[in-house]
Amino acid sequence: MIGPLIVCFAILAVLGVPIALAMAAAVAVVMAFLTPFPILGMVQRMITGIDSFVLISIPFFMLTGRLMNVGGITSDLFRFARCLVGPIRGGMAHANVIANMILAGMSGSAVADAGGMGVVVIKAMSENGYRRELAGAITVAASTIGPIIPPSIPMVIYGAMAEVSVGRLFLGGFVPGALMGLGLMALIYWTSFREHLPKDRRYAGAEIWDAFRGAFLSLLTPVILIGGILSGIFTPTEASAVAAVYAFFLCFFVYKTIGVRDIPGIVVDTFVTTAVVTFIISATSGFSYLLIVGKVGTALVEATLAFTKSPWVILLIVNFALLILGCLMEAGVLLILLTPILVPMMKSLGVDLVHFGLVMVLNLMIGVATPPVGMCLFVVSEAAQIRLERLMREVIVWCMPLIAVLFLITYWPGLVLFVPNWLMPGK
Amino acid sequence: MNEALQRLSDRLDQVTRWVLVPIGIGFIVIVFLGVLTRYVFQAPIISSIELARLGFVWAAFLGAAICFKGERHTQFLFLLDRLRGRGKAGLKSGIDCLAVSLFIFLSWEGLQMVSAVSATYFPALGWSQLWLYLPLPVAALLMLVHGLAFLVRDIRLLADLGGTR
Repeated sequence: MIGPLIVCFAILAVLGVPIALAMAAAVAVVMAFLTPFPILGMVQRMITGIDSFVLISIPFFMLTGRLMNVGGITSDLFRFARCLVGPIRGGMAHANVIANMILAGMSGSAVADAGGMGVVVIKAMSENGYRRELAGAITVAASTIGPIIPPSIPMVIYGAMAEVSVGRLFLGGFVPGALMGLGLMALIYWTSFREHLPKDRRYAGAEIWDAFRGAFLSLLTPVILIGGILSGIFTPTEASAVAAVYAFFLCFFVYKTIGVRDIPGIVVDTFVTTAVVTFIISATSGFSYLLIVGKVGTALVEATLAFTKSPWVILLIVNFALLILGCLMEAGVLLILLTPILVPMMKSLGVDLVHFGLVMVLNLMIGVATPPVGMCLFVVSEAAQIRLERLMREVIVWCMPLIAVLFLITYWPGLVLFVPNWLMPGK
Repeated sequence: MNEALQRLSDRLDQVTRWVLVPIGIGFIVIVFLGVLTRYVFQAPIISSIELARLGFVWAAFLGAAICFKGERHTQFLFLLDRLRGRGKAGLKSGIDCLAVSLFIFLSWEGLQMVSAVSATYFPALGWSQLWLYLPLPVAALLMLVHGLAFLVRDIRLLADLGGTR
């Protein structure tokens, strides 16, 4: 039953049928002809698969990111970050990473971060003597921190599908996100000698204060989000709604960068972008159901345990498989398809599902920065007018610190679990 | 027929966008009000979570229909990008046929599902569950019209390319 399902899906997907339709068609054919289950069950699961209070946060995180980009806050953030780290050698590149880390605390999507930050930062860097390809590659790599430092759309999807606390997943992202930033900054510092990268003059205290004041209201967004979740005032979904309304308040009343006429377009665009993800989740719900009734999880666990009983070896294999698949398939699609397959296996091996969630999300985020189907590559190439093949060549070395952090958190779960165990114990 | 179908598809897309705006704004307001009334006024709106779920499912499926019309759903394009002329038009027509068949199936089965759940109710709202299941057949019917418009367009292109071969 599962073999024909996967073959049918793969053929349709390769032929160019949209992923959601290919999945729905494959499930419908298999349920109709190869199983005794009523076909109405598939339709029911297409609805119940997205009828989740956790998934409701996806459009809110998308809306917050969109409003922050439309509101032009990326320039303020970059200016503030430049005041902090500009005087270090390769200062603007460091500021790029720091600004992306701050933006990561507001938006939950790597692609939104790359699009928002790309135009502003790459222009400024190339005007200051950086090669455009280098500036683009650093922006692509830094944008992958977006879904690791909370909030994070991939973590919401994983949390909803694996039935894991989204709050704990969010908290688990702090240390890996910081390590990714530090890793990139270390590589920038090393590259700065080889490429003779410039550094900024030392900024006066008044300039730093002025830049901080400019970015202050935007910097409150992550405080509202994480503070609200940690204090128990909001659930992650409610926090996402409050952050979106706050971002709207900033853009509409404070910065005045959007007007009443812009609202319908922003709303439609937010829900259309959300629908790209939710329609795949909806179509995949029938697939998850067939995996359960077909006892695929059990079969996979038995086959894996016959090969090895070490969770570390299995995590190594899963990591390599995800890194390769991440280069070939879109990260969101892989996350939705593989979570129902891998989570039962990890559960039976005793791997903490928050730890595995971070490993999986970080791994798949590396995929958005790597050729040939890295979405962030396309966005930055388009936004900054850099030839795609040059950007692809340049970005590979900048993925190395990210891969190093991936393996570090894989084999040192404490790096992920320390913060959630400390701040949200026993949840 | 081709132009009439294209016009119908365009008009339905426009209407879907108009409908999505109040649903989307309403959904955002409901979730925010749910937080506000619970934590600020200590008087929670009991039905806000059910309303938010309803709004989200409607917005997600209407968004999926707009997405389909705009050909924005995630797909692998490496094969389509390598094909030229009749090969490409033929493959696109085949994909359109499959999409149309799937949408006919989802519309029909979706309506069956709506009928099956119409006698069950939301605990807090007291509304029939059919409002939760209706977005799927509605979106499927919208996508069926868009899919037919794509199919007619691509078959015409295939015929034109055949004629000029």
